Amino acid sequence: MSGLNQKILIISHGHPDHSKGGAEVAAYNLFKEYQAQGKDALFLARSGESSHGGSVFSSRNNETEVLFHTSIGDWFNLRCAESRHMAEHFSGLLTRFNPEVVHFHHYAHMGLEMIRIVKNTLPEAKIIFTLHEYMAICFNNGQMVKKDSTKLCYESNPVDCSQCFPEKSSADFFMRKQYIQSMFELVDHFISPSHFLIDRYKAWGIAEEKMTMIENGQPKAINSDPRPLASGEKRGRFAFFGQINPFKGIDVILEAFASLSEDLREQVHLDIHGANLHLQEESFQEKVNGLLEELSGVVTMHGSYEPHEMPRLLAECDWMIIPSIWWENSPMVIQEAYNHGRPVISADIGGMAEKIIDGKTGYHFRRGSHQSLASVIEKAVTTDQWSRIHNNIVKPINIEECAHEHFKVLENV
Amino acid sequence: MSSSAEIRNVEASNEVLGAFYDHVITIKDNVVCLLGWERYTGNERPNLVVTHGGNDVSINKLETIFYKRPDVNKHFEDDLDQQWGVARVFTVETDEIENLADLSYKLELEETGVSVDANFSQDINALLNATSMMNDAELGLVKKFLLEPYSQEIIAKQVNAAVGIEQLPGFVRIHTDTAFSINEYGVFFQGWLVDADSNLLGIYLQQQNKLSKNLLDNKTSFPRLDVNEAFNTKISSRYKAGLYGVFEFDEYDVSKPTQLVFLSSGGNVAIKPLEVSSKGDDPVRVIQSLLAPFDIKRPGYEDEFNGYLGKAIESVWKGKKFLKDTEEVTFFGEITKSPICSLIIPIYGRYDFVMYQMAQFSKDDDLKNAEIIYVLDDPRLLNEFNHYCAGVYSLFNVPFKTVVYDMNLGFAGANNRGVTHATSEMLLLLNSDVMPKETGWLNKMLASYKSAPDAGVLGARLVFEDETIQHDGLSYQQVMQYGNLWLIEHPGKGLPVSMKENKGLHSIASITGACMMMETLIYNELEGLDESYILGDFEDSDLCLKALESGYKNYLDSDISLYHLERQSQNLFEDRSWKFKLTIYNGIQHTRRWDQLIKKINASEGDV
Repeated sequence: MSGLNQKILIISHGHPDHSKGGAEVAAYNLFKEYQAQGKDALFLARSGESSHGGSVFSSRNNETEVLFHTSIGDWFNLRCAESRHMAEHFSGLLTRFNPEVVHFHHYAHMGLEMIRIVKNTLPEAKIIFTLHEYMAICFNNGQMVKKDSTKLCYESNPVDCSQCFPEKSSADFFMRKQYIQSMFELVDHFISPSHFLIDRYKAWGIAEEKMTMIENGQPKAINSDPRPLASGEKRGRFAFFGQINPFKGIDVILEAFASLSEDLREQVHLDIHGANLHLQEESFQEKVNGLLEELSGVVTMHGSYEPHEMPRLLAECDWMIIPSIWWENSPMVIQEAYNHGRPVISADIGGMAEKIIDGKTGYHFRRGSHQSLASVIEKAVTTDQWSRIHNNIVKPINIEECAHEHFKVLENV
Repeated sequence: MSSSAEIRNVEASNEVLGAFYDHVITIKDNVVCLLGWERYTGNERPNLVVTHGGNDVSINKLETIFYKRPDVNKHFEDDLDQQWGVARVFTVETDEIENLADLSYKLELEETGVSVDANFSQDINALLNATSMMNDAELGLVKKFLLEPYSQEIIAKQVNAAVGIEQLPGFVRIHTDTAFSINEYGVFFQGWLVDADSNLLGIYLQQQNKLSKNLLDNKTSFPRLDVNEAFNTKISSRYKAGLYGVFEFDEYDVSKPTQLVFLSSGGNVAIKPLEVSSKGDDPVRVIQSLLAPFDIKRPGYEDEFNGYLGKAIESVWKGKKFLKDTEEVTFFGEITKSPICSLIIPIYGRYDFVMYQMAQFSKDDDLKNAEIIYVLDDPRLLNEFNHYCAGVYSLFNVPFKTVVYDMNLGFAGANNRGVTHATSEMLLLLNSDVMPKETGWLNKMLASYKSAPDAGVLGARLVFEDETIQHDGLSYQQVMQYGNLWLIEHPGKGLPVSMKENKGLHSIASITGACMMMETLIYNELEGLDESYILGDFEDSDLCLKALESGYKNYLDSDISLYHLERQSQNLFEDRSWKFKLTIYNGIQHTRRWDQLIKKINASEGDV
């Protein structure tokens, strides 16, 4: 690489040591790869814990990983609770580190105004922003799903938004959008791991030429051998990875398994790797627990997992299922499944539909429909297509290639 | 107006000039108010001459208020517009006058004069009755020259005839939310007041014939929308009914009954009993209560801190010095005869730090040649502290001594007391949560100090447990939200040390008190840490600035690095907003003292 862009500040809304969300892990992996490529990279991750001596910063692992102890005071406008954290402390960090590139992966829990602070403090620095979600577009946790139903939203508009949040007027939503856009205008280039997300932000108002799709990079040299089968055994081992909440569609998957015929049930098994059911609403918990009881012997609830366990857990399954009822962006688990040569069955919307080619690298089912999923499961087990699909899967880009894609963007901004 | 219903002594008047004083009221032992009428037919107002035993007496502050006396006009058949009524207020040089009743009064028109008789009366009601005939302008003069300056005296004369607050003219209502004694300084009051026609001149506390100062001179008003709502026919929506403030009252005694006394601009007095509670003798608790309603977001909050509220807080904090404290010195092992340095280490709350420090100190011979003094000022730990220290000594055999007090002295107080027990020529103020990173640091610091020209104070670089900056010198900063207030910053705090330039030994304006070296003589010359900052964050900066002001230079040696395991906050401050208010209070004191010097420091970019 050229001598340009040697100093890069990566900003994440969490440190993977504390929070293993896709965006945090993607940001951190890219940071480590930037370092491996010889960049002077600093990882700034937000922390909700209080710090030593009440200081706004502390360090994690080593001096290139800094925690930013701050919080959002106004979620509607995504503003930091403490103006001094931005105008003085974050600005002071920028002055000291003096990066040529500031690469945002998020602003949640910190403050969208960080972008402006970068511009104010280091007018020459390039600002790159990887969009991992739709928080700027949708106030409903960025899900782009109606608040009191599970109806999908294709785009935002102030009148519709204020119907989800009657305490805010459409004028409030209009101003919110103008405010957020005033920050986004300061960004030199956006990156997103899915075309679907780029289309959403294009519709929202970001120029298409300011956005580039780069998929999240995966570790190299991963074993993608098929699971050895016992004689006569079918490819009937399914796995779910992720948070257990209504948006992730865990109830859809359980209802699908519950509706399988007796005969089919004996040929399949579902392993659920995920946690936090206890944080969900009671009615949802009851529904899930009832289904789990009914499906004992067919479904095993394993709880949470560590990233290093992922290869082994994937090796034990044939298919991954992603039944989310919201759009998703580019779920990291899809790339992980592909990296291990595992076909994916997913809902037919958003980032999932983009990443999984129906009939080629996996199957689609109708979003939210357990009947549709049940018939896809039956097809998967009974039609012997697994090897064909497995062979169709192309290895996703690895983290090194991913970093190089980013360098190309950096050279052109 | 009963006393002037008939015009008496009319024969004393002539066609040119006539007068009669119905009342001579002595307001105070040298203040006289003449009340009556003066009638003259020329254009020239007459002068009052006061005599005693035939000699003229000099009078001061003569104020004369003319108003209408229709009865006099009627008697002389004058035009009703003529204002013959008069109130003369003046002070008399009383050196040779034992009894003001012996004074004589004479009105003079240039050279022709007339003597005027005067009834001698102390009936303050006469004055109040007279004011009932006055118009607003005249009443304003009475208020300015008589009722305001002499309200205490008038209340003293009037209080026996006091009415309830509802009987005061206009519409006056008051409600007490809380009233507590500020030890002997007075009483803090919080509640609301509606004085719809601005009739009140003052609100006072009375206890056994003693009166406080006027609450209305020492108060803050703020909106109370609930009160505006309740009295919306009496007061405007902009009226600020909320009120808190201080009744200054010398040697207030909370155990004795107290009443509120109201003085209206017409001189009427009303009373209302007041329940006053006590917050105990812990100064911190009293100050916490004083700060409760105080709002640093309110414009002009500095005036309260610079004014009555600051005075009250200061009196409570200074008052603590008069609480009895005991001092107990205990030796653990034999301290070297001529120590290279005396370490003063205050202990408050956690005392297990003694063990952690000793485990490190025991590895370093420098510390065995030093005098280590732990100062405990936490009354909760009296029993266990020395017991614990004995155990620590038996383990590490590093000699030290403890000085124990049965009260909280604050950071400055604990260090100052500790220094009185120091025998070395060199001092190191050290926090108990500062831990060495390597041996030899103390001699390195002493050597740095000796090598630095005109050294006043020397500090070191302090880092958190994760090798991020805790302290590498202090800086001063103003933020828009707090106007001219200088806040103290730790530049680079929490950032990896690699992100801060290491300047080695360099001059700097000020450093933290967590690790501060100086000569004992200089410490004493500067009178140590200022104890008027309350549990504060400013006394270390204050000491550094005192050193600069006295011509010394301050230094920081960033090559010397220790851990400072600064805690989030001390247990003492559960209410962080309260602590923040106190920081602002301390900051205001600090800014008042050092504004000019800090501006100079910042103009020279810290190079002082």
